[in-house]
Amino acid sequence: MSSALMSSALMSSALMSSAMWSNPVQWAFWLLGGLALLGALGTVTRRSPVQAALFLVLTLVATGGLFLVLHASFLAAMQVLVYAGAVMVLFLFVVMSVSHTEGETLGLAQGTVGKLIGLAAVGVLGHQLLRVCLTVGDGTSVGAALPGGFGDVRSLGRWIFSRYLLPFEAISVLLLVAIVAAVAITRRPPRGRAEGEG
Amino acid sequence: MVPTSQVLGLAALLFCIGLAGVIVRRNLLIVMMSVELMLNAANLALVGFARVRGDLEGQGLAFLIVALAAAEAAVGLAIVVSVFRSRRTVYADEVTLLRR
Repeated sequence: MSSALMSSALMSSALMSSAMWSNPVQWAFWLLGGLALLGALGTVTRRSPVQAALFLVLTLVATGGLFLVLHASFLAAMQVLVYAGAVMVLFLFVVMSVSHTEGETLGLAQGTVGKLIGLAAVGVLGHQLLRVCLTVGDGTSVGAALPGGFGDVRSLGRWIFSRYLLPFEAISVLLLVAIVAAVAITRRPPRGRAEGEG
Repeated sequence: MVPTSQVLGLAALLFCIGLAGVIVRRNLLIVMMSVELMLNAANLALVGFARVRGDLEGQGLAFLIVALAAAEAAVGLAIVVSVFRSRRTVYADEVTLLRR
C-alpha cells in the first residue's frame, strides 16, 4: 500500500513521540489494531472470497476488542454478535452459493493503468487523511476520567430510548425495508415471464 | 493512555485499505466486504471520539451505523445474487449489459 508507505514516517514519529509504551492499554490497543490491519490487508488481497471473508472476521473481532479498550462494552458485544456473527454468516452464505469461481488473480494483469491510478488516488487521500488525523488530536488522549458505567447497556439504552428514539425507530423501519427489498430482488420471476431479457 | 491521534490514524489506515479494495478489486463480493471495512473504520473513529469527549453521542451513532451496515449488506448481497443469477458472474467488469 503506497498510502501506508507514505504515511509510515508520520505514524512512526507519532508513535515514538508518545513515549507511553509502559501503559498496558497502549499495548492492547496496538496489538488489536495490528490484528485489525492484518485482517484488512488480507481481506483486500486474498484471491478467494472465502479467505477474504475469514480475514474480515478477524478485523471485525479485533475492532470489537478495540471498542472494549475504548470503553464501549455494549458496542463491542454488538460488533461481535451482529457484524462478526450475522452479517458475516450472510456473506459466507452468499459466497458459498454464488462463486464456483477459481479465484481472481488479483486482477493486476487487466486494467493495470486504471488500478495504478486508483491506488495512487487512495495513497494521496490516505496521506492527507493521516496528516489530518495525526494533528487533530494533538495533545489530547483517551485517558480522561469517565462517568461510571460509560458505554454499558444501561447508559446507551438511556441514550437511545430518550433523545434518539426517532432515529432508532427509523433504523428499524429501514431494516424492515431492506429485508423486503432483499427478498424482492432475489425472488425468481414468476413462470411465464421471460427470465431476464438479455 | 492512547493518544487521540493514534486512534484516528488507525481508523484512517483501515478506511484507506477498504477504499483501495473498493477501487481495485473486481469481485463484487470482495468490494462489498471492503465497504464493510470502511464503515467499520468510521465506527472506530466515532467510538474514539466518544471516549475522548466522555460523551455517548459517538457510541450511539456507531450503534445506528451497525444496523445500517446490516441493511446495506442484505440489499447489496441480494443484488450480487441477482446479478450472478442472470449473468453467471460476480466480476464487476464482466457486467456490461448497458455498454452494448
